Amino acid sequence: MVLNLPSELRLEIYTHCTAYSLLLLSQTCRLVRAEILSSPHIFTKSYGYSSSPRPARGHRQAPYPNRRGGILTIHNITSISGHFDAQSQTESQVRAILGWPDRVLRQCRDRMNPKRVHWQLYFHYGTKFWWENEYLTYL
Amino acid sequence: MATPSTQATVKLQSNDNVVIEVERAIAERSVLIKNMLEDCGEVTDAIPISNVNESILRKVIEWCEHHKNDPVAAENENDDSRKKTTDIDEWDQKFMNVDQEMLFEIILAANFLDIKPLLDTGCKTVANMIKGKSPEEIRKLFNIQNDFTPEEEEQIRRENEWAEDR
Repeated sequence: MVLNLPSELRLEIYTHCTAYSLLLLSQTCRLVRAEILSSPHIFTKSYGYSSSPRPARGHRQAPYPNRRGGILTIHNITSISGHFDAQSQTESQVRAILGWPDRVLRQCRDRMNPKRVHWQLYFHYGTKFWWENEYLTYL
Repeated sequence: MATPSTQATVKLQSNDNVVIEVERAIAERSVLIKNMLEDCGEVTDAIPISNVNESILRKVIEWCEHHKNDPVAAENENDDSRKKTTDIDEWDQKFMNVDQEMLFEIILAANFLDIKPLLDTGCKTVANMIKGKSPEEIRKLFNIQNDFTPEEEEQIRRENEWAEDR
């Protein structure tokens, strides 16, 4: 069981996780949450993490009152990647996994590696604005 | 420092006292064993691998045998790029297709024996198991008890809720 591993080996595992995986993992139990959140050197380097997402169009600041640099919340997630969503899953399946209805997902191929497919997250800000993630330029 | 040895094989002894003879080149995928052999020169006795039992040791040797010709990474390599991908080659995927207990034993053995690429492969395998799962599914997968108080769960929910357009 993963909790029986020494802490340093769990940290080693975290270094291979995406930011989104770390976010979900941090919601499983206190110990794992404390380990992840006290290791910004790991989650800030993880795939799909952004400490400063771009502001919404027409806004000077990112529209997230509860986000600060060096923390891990859904607002720090800019993209989700991986084999689970790359090959076989439909958008509705991915949506079912993600569970948040106020995000729009789009699939795109990585230019550098066409075999790799990213799910892009579009952040729905209220009813008026869309915040587009940095991979929008790939479309 | 001891004279460099040309011995072709070394004996490794698991913690359940089973001695396994392996090619030196294969055993030297382990930095721990490599350093030991460099320091001691010719070693005729079996090297005790105190933290690893026979089945895990055989599994680790199988991995080392398959990867014996892989280039060895630089000693101080702190290469983030090796961590940015969770791609695992097909052979390694099959190799890691074991039950959770053995997977974690392999990770522990790789860490003890200082076999970085095997440790990476094990950790990537666990990372891939986590990918795409909800917190509840991860708990089930690893038998983790949810010990958050309702207040803590509420705080997590609030941290991750979407901003309202005001």
